Formats: sequence, C-alpha cells, structure tokens
Amino acid sequence: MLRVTLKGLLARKVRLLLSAIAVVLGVAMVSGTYVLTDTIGSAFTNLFNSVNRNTAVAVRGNTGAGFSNTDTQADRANLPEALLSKVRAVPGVREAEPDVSGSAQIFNPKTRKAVSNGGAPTLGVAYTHSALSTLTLRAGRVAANSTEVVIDRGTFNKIDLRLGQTVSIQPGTLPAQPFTVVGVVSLGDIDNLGGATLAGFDLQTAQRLLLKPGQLSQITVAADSGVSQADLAKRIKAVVGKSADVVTGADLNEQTSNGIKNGLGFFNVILQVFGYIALVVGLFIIANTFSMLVGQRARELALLRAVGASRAQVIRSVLAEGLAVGLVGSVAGLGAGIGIAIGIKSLFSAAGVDIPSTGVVVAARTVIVALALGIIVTAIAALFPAVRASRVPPVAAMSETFTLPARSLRVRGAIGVVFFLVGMGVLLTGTSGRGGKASEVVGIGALLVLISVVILSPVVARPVVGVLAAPVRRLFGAIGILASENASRNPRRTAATASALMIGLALITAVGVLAASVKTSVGTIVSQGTGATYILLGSGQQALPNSLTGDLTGKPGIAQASGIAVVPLRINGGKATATATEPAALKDNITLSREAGNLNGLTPSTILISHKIADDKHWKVGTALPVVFSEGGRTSLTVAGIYKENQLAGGYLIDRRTAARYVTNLVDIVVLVHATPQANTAQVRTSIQSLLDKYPGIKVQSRGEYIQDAQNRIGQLVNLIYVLLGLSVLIGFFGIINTLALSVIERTREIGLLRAVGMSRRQLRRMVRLEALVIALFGAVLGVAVGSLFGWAILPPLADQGLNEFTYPFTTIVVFFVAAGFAGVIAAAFPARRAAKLDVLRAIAST
Amino acid sequence: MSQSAVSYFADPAQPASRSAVRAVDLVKDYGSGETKVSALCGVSVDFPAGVFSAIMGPSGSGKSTLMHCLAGLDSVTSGQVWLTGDQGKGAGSEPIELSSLSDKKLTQLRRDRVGFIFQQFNLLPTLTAAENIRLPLDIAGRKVDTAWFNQVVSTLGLTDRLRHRPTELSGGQIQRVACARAIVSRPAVIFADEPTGNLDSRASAEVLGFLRRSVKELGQTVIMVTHEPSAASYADQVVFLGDGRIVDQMNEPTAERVLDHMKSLDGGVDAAPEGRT
Repeated sequence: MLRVTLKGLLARKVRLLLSAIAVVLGVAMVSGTYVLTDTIGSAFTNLFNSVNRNTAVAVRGNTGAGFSNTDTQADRANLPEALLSKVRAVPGVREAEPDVSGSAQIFNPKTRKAVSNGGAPTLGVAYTHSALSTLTLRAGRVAANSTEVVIDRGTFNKIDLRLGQTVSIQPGTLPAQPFTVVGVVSLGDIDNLGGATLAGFDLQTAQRLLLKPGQLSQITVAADSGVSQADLAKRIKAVVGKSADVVTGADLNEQTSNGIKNGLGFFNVILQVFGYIALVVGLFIIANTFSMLVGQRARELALLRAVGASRAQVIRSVLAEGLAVGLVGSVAGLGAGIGIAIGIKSLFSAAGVDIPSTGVVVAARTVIVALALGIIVTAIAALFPAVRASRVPPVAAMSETFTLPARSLRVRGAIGVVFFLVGMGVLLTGTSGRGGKASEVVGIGALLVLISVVILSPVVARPVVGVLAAPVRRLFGAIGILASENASRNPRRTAATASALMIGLALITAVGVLAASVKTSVGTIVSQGTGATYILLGSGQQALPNSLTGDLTGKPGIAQASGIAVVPLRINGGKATATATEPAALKDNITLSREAGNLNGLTPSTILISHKIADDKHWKVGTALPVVFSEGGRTSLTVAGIYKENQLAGGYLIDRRTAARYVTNLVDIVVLVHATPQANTAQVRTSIQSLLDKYPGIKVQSRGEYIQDAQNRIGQLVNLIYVLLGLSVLIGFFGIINTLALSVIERTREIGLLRAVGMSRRQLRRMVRLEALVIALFGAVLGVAVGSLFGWAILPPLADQGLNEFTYPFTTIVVFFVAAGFAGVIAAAFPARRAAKLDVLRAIAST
Repeated sequence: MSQSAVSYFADPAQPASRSAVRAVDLVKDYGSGETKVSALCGVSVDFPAGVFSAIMGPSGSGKSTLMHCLAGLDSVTSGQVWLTGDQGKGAGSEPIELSSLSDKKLTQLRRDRVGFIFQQFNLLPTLTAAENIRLPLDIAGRKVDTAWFNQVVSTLGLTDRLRHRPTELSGGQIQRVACARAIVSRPAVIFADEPTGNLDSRASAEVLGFLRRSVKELGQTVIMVTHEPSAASYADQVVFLGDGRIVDQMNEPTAERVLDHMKSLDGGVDAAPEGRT
C-alpha cells in the first residue's frame, strides 16, 4: 500500500507541491522568528560576555523593592563618587572604573538634524579607554577635555564624519554645544548597540553634562586573579552596605542579554501570530487540494477497494500522502525560515541597527516545532478527504463516470447558523461592555462569526456568486456565463478556495477599519485631553530641559507652560506609571473632567486617579495609597479626586514636587504651552522657537500638527501589519492557483469540447480568469463583511481609551476589493495558460 | 466497386461539382523513425455537399483520424484538406485549405463552418439544453436566428427540455441536443463521431433519422464515422477505410449490404461492439 501511495505522490507532484507552498509559508514564518530571536539573543550574549569579560563585579544605584533587574539605568539612583575610593580599597579589587551614562543627542553637521534610528537610545557616556570599558577605540584617541568627544562607528559612518570635525551634541537636558570628534569606538565587533548612537566624553565632562558633578552611574570592578566574582561581590557589598546594589559580572551579562531578549520577545510573538494565521489559512488550501485529488481519483480508489484494500488502508494511503506533503513542506519551510531570519537580520543592518555577527542559531526546539506544526496541520487537513475517500464503494470502479456523492449542505447550514447566532450574540454582548474583558468577548464573538462564515460559505456560495457574477455575465456574454457557472458549480470547492482568501481579508479589513477609527479618535483624544496650543517634544527618547518650563512662563502670549514627567512606581504593591506635573497644569494644559472629589486638590500628599482605575481597584476619594518609587523612596498618597479617562493624564496623576523628591533624574518628556486667548499664535511660536535655538532636538508642534503626526505614525504601523497579513493573503492566492489548476485538469474534456465548437484560446483563458475573479471577489465580500463587523464591534469596549468615533474607510475597502480581484486574475494566469495549451483532440479523448 | 471508381473520386483534377469536403493525398503519421505509425497513407476522397456520408472501417483503420483531419481538429503530416464555404453562402464560396491554417483560423473555422456531434460528453454540465445549443453562436458572439432555433428544436422534439441540464436528460435527448447545437449555426459540414455509439436502438433511430432529414430537407452536409452497419444504412454513401487507405465506396447502402461488404473486406467484421478508435 505504501508503494501505491508513493507512486501516487510522484504522479501528482505539481499539484501537491502547490498545496505544500501553504505549509512552507506558514512554517517559514514560525520557524523564522525562532531562528531570528535565538540568533540575536545568542549574538548579544556572546557580545556582552566578550566586552564585559574583565568585569567581575558591578556596583549600581539602588532600585526599589519589586523593580526588576532589567529595568533601565534611568530608574536607578546615582552613586556618589566617594564610593569609588571605598570600592578600590576592598581587598581583591584590581581595578575599579567609574561609569557615567545618560543621554546625548548628536546632530548631523550637514543637515543640522538629530541623528536617530527609530526609537533607539541616544547614549552619552564617560569613556576612559580602560580595560574595563565595554567600548573599543577603533580610530583616533580618547576625549581629553571638555570640548572633545568620541563617536560610535555606526553614527560616525552614517553621517559621514571625519576626525577633527566639529559636531553639535545636546547632552541630557542641557543646551546643545559643539564638540570636536577625536575618536571612533565600537562595542566589541559591532558598530552600535541596536541602532543606538553613542557619544563618549571624559569623566568630568560626562558627569557635568549627563549627571551632576561628583556622581556616578555605576562602578565596574576587575578582580585580582584567584578572587571569584561571588566572593568579591560579597566583600564589596559589605563595604557599600545598603547605599548601592552589587552584582557579579556574570549576572550583569545575563540581565543585559535578557533585557534585549525581552525586547525582542514582543517582536517574536507578533511574527508568530502571523505565522499561525498563515498556517490556518494553509489548512483550508491543503484540505481543498486533497478533496479535489481524492474526488478525481475516486475510480482509482474504488479499484483499490475492489482488489481488496480495506477502508482503513485507503484512509492510511491518503493520510500518508498528506504526511509526506507536510514533511516536505515543513522541511522546506524550515529552510525558508532560516532564510527569512538571515534576511531580517541583514535588513536591520541595512537600517543602521547593527547586530553582532554570529552563526545562525537553529535550536532543536525550532526544528521540532516547525516539523510538528507542518505535519500536524497537513495531517488534519488531509483527514477529512481521506475519510471521504474511504467511502467510495468498490463498484464505482466499474462505472464510467462515478463522482463522489455530494453530502447535503443542510446539516452544515444548521451548524453554521448556530455558530453564527452564538457568535453574534457573544459579539453583541461584548459591545455593551467596557474595557479589556469586553474586547476579549468581542474577539471571541468575531472568531465564532468567522468560523460560522467558513462553515456557511458553501451554503451561501451559489447565491452570492450569482450576484457577484451578474456583471461578469452581462459584460462578457457566453464566456462570462461559463465562468460564473464554473465558479458556482461546486460550492464547497469555491467556498474553500475563497475562505483562505477571506481569512486574510477579514483580518486586514478589521485592522483597516479599526485604524481608521483610531485615526479619527486620536484627534478627539488629543483635543479633549489637552488645551495646549503648542506641544514640545524631544527627538527620540530625549528628555526636555527642566528649565524650559520656567523660561517659557511669562513670555508674551504664553498663559501657561507645563512640563510633564512620567514616573515608574509601585502603587499599593502594583506596578504603575504615573504622570507628574504641577497642579497648575490642570487648568488648561491637561483638561480633566471631574468624576468625583476635587481635581484642584493635587498636592505633594495627594494623587488623582482615573475613573477606570478607581473602578478596577475599588479605590475612592480619601483612600490612602502606599507608593514606592523606583529608587526605593516610599510615601503615602491620598486619592483627592477621580477624573474621566484622559490619555494624557493616564491612570495616575501626581504632583511634580512629589516626584522630584523621590526621583533623582526627574525630567520632562513633554512640555505643553497654552497661549493666551488674545495671543497671535504665530508670534508665540516664534518666541518659543527662539528659546529653543540652543536645543535643536526639540520639536514644536501645534495641536493639529501633533495630531497629524500621531495619525501618520498609526498609518505606518498599520502598513506594517498589512505587510505581515499579506502573507496569509499570499497563501490564499496560491489556493486560487491550486484550485483552478486542479479544476482545469478535471474539466479537460469540457475544455476540449469548447475548443471543438469554436472557443479560441484567448476566450478560454478569459473564462478561467473570470472564474478566478468571481471566486476572489466572493472571498473578498465575506472577508470584508466579517472584518468590518469586528472593526465596528471592537470600538465600544475601547471607548475608555477614547476610541469612540467609528470611521469606515470606504476608499481603503474599495482598494481591498480591487486588489483581491486583481490577485484572483493574476492567480489564474498559470491555470488559464495551461487550459489554453490543451490539445483539442487529446482533451476530448481523455477520460 | 471497381478500382477506377475510387480513383475517379480521388482525382484532384476533377472535383465533384458540389464538393463540401475534399481530401487530397492525406497522410497522417504518429511518432517518427522506428516508432512511426501511419494512420492515414495517402487518402484522397471527396464528400459532396448536401449528402449524408458515412466513414466505415474496422478498428484501427484510421476512420476517426480521417474525420479529425477533415474537421481541422488534428493536423496532417502531408496532403491537403479543402472545406467549402458555409451553408448560408452555398457551394459557391471559396473553399479553404485547412493544413495551412493557424490555430486561430482553425478555431474560427470550427466555430463558423463546422458542427460536431461526439459519441459522448457532448454537452457542458453547467449549461441548460438551450444554452448548450446556442453555445457556438454565443462564443462567436453571433445573433441567434430565433425562427431557425425554434424550428431545429421542435424538429428534434426538444421544445420542452430546453431548460433542463444534461444530468436531467436521457442519452438520446443529450445526443439530440448535440445535433441541434451542430445544426443551429448552419455549418457547411456536420461531423458526427460515432453519434449513436452509446445509445439504444430506438434512440439511435431518432438521432440518425434526424441527421438524414437535415440532409434531405435542409440540404445539410453530414459526415459520420460509425462502425455499425445499421447506422451506416441511413447514409447516402459509405466510404470504407482499411489500414489508412480508402478501400471501397458504396452508394445507397443498406445494413445487409454494408455488413456483407465489411465481412468481405477483412474476412470477418468485428461484430462485437467496438470502442472508439
């Protein structure tokens, strides 16, 4: 029986390979993400092991209880420089190096624009050319005075600098100032760390610019030979006591690599989700292909049964084919996945994000998951056709034209309707709720509706295709009629082909509709959340100078300037992020609507919370909340007021004075400027701009410009999602190719007849293309309907986040339809050519 | 039938005055070199217009190949095939030589000048009987002559079956729909390839009777390949093929005479029903 299976596989290799493409794409996506993250993870682990190889112990500022070790340096307290000599005195310490780090924005001397790679950090450090430094000097020399700087090789090459050239650098929140580039550094063998820019100063300059004179970020310690990291850490801890955090070099490396891996983890999950979606879509294509192959081989299978094969043997034979296809597809997919990982890695490098060079890491887990996924998915897809194949009665072998009996669609219809009603019920229940739970309910409802549409699609195929094909019939006459009849003659097949396309389109439509609503809502969120005339933001993650607020206040035309800082903390034991600002900001710059209590009551001993937080945590006006700041400071804040959801204020609003007391490096990330009603806004803008001359990295945007900017960023994100979802649409595209190619084979005699009675090759090609068009549009109609439903239903639960304006992107949807139609027509090219090439006589004579 | 009669028929210098299809020195080889098989070795034959002709011969005699070559379905190795103008324009219109035509021209010719009736799989399962009948006209984008359509349909007794699909029709009805489709476009020639091969005797008689009537009453030209003497007896003339050559010809055949003749030709006809060749 196995030989029969293998021979059968070889005879149909083209058709099977087409169906294997679905497996290849899905598996490639899933395995590619594993390979990529493993490779990057191990590369960084190797890198840190290498650059920190001399670091036995690191002494860092404290973090509050419950803050993780991967939290950034910014959340830690600074160390007093006096600690350095104490550490140096500890027996076993061979060398102790002071580390200073902060942010420093480099400006391109040619364009005068801030150099940034997406959101990557702009690092400023003290660089002393010590063996303990993570940096390696590649050219020039170390900065020797307060006007010199070394630059990372990535940035140096990117903006085409030369040694001796003057660049403008804006350190931390200080004004920009000129520095002479005297050296180039790299991090181990990579030019920069994940696209971050780096400026290295001498120690005093770095302290003055990035921290405060007499402060350090970290002390890096090398051990005398024979002293273990753990021993040395214990000895140092005994000296520094509670004033600092002591960690071994090994732990530090692990924490740093883990931080990077966690950062990639998010990326990983996203890609995996799209990979799994692709596999689900592939499931339909494989199942459809096997159904068609089994249908075409009904007589052959009957012959096997007639000569004594049992039903189980027939099932096994078809399943074995499925497993073989799954195996081939998975192996190819794994290979393609490794290719994808390498491709994305080089894409990063091309974009200026250097990733350490290392061998591609293909973990055993990756191989197992890839093969298991591909094979299991294919086996499931082949199971139903296999069972159906086994029902072919042996007598069918004798009959001239036996076709597998089509099962009634009635049971299917009933199940589908039940799914649909339950799904709609769940979905509508979700729309009446609020928050994360409700949006999950909507999601489950939408999934059920999607499943119901998959189940029901063969039932609705005939009528819907009839309507969609009406213009085709009218425009193309006999050819159109033939095409539309072909599209609706086998509703199951048409539905399965269209379903693959539908899932992709449903997701894309949902994203499109949601994005349109988000874009509209963003305007309202910003307009309602703030009355600011101008919004000042640093480039990248650059903070704004604390002096800015004071400088702006009192300028002609400016009623109020408010700095906003964001503070990580733990409230009542739970991790949270609070917005810190002066109480006066709540007048115009942050416009809150009162839910309860007194919104004017923000003082160093009080906190304002959002309605949603109050509801979720059951806190009321007057509740006293214990608060821990990231550096370990503790206090208790009393809820003074509760406000309606405000995106700018977030969940918690505290007094800037509270934050300043417990956070060393409290910096504003945004400054809001409210102009007086009589002011000429253009003049206000000019006067703000003149203040910012020293800070070229700071952008001034009007509220409208800010909204536009936010909408553009959403647009970019949505485009990225479209590209990722495009993969599942691509698989749907292959599904159309496969179905039509198989249909052409099935209808060889019909094609021969048509050619005999005078149909030209051109007309024949057109017929196949029009059939594809109708099938693709059928998939598009179902997909857009389900996607739109989800895009509409998900909004009410998100109303708390300000998403309450449903916008339907008609143009985008029309584009989807046109694109789907085109995709169908293009997919038909190969089957159409194949049909047109058929020899008339042989086609008529074939059985 | 004497040898001279055959050569008269095949004489290219003296074409019959109203010839519908004429083959001159037709050769059809399959394969090449060692494996070469000659299906037709120099066939010259003339099928007069307005005549019901039958091509007969034992299995492997080349009768189906001859018909395919005459109808422009198959290319020839050498020789010529001439087809007269369409029925509407009468015998006066210029004959066309098929072997030199491109696939596109051949397709047009099949569409406009030729009607086909096959042994089986004559109709598209997705179309109704009426749509199947109109198919060649629809493909060509030609208007249907409603009066003519109705006449053909009623003559064939299909008026109340027009809205049915092939799966709802009997074998005889299907072949009658195929006849209607072949004749409705007023082709110069109708080629019928074993049209009654799958039918019982009563349905066969209906189909063959219609083909004869279309010739007698409408002046249609019909060329039919068959291996059944009883089917051949409906024809006006029978051309006998053996081993890729014309071996004889008979006018006003009857079933008995044809059967006798077949026996004499190869010393024993394959009396058992024969499949398509």
